[in-house]
Amino acid sequence: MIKRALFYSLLCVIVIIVILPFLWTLYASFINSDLDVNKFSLDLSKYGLGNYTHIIKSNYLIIWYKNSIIVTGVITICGLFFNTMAGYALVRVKIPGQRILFLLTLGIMMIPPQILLIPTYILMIKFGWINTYLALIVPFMVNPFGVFLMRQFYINFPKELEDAAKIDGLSRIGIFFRIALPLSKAGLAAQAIIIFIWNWNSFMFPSVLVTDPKYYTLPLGIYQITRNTFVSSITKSMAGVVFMTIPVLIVFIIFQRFFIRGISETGIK
Amino acid sequence: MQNKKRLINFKYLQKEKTQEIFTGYLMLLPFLVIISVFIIYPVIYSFRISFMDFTFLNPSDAKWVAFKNYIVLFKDKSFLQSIKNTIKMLSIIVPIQTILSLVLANILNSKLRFKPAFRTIYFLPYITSLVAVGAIMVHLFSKNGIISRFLTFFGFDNVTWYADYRYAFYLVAGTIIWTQIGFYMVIYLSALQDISSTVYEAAYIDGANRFQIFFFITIPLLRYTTLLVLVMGVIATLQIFDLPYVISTTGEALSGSPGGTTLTMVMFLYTQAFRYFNMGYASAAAFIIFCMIFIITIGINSFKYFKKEF
Repeated sequence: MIKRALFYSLLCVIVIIVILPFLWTLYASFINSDLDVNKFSLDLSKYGLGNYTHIIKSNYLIIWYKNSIIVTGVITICGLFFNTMAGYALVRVKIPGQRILFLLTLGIMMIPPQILLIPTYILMIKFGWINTYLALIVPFMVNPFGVFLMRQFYINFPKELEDAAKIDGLSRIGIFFRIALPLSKAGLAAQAIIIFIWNWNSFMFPSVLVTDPKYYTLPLGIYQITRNTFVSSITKSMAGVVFMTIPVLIVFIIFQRFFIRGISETGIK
Repeated sequence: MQNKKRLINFKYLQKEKTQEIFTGYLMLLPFLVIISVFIIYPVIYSFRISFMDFTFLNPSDAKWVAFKNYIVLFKDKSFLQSIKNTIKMLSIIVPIQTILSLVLANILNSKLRFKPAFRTIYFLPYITSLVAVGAIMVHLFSKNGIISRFLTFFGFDNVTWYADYRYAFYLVAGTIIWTQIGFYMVIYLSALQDISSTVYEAAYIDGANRFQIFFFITIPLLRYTTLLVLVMGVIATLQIFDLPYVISTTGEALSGSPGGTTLTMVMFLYTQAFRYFNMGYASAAAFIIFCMIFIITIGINSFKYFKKEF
């Protein structure tokens, strides 16, 4: 009994350590004056939505939101489509070089992205894609992790269904679209949420590929806000942070089961 | 008559086989095209320009200088400091996050209620953008910030951590650990759930207490997972960029400030390439980082592949 109480209290202490920064952020975003950020006051007059209205008006915040949604959305949808097709082909379709291609996928997964930073930048300049959506989307449309995840998923997929469809005359592509894909919802959900969260928060590559504030994604925009308003306002940058984090939080809380399962499966196997 | 039938069947099977191959490659096409253009070609290109004196301010002037970039790199104080910082981060971040996530996973694995809620909450720092996390921590740890004042009880000075020569590094390291624990805890949790309870029951019957079970049964059973967590941790730590960059460039400061104490290898690469535009030089640094990570990854993965009964 004592042991159980001890565990619960320890877990709750950790909850506090984990949540405290977020709670403070929420709190600071509603405080009107910068001087009050470090104290907790119950005086309701000190609170207000001033920070939010200010950053929406004086920045491209809505535009950044739009950019992030478009970029992350397109990457997620394309990624789901291309990765799943590739993962399926690596398992189910009898092609020569299947094994080599799988090893290639594994090899690509081991490449750290930093080495791609400079060449991708130079490539984007050569293509003329800098400061367009293309630079933010195309290099990231495909993800070897997604391919790997779906491959693992399809290895355990029941073959009988496919064989039955084949006898009935369905082509391989038909089998993929009408049978395999609709039944892969769990794998797709895991992949979708990993891709979504990773790309929503992506900072390093966009910071280099996009220099025009009108094309910034949210992380870039919020970075600008916190840098520029630093001297003048903590509260406004916290409002920006809340703005950026809420969608991810919501998406995550809804889909967390799939996310965690996706990580366990790629990680362990 | 029989021979004619067999010939027709054979041709049909051939056609089906080629159709299957064609479909297969078609399905792989988008993936292969994009990784060829945006991953394989860039790696080769990066390797090539690392041997050139290539500054983006004057691209046509690029000339081949063989290993000069690499030689200069190893004399570059900034680069050496970034290597030192990154290794220092490795030695602090990886052990602490591994141990804490292991302990936390074990606590969460016992018969408690609200497990999914705890798990979700602990995961929150991991899914938050590092830009956001950096902005938050910078303020919480500034002079008179809530956490700075709290820590004065433990003997720390009340200063702005991200600007303090002594503390900035530990702010970065501590924040990284804070973001990563939930992730590795989840990995340990999945592994723990694969251990059947009969093992623990047998140990109980033999008279083992909780600590003995933890140290002599659970931990050895998690050998493989711990290796995975360690490797992932090492690779991720070698690549750290977002958080120290955001924290150290607060208030228009130079990246790596104060005084280069928070400079990681990737930050060095980034600054060389996009502030000074020394693409060739930066690519050489990138390639060194790439080799370090690639070798570790391949080494561990082939170890995993060839020794399946680990």
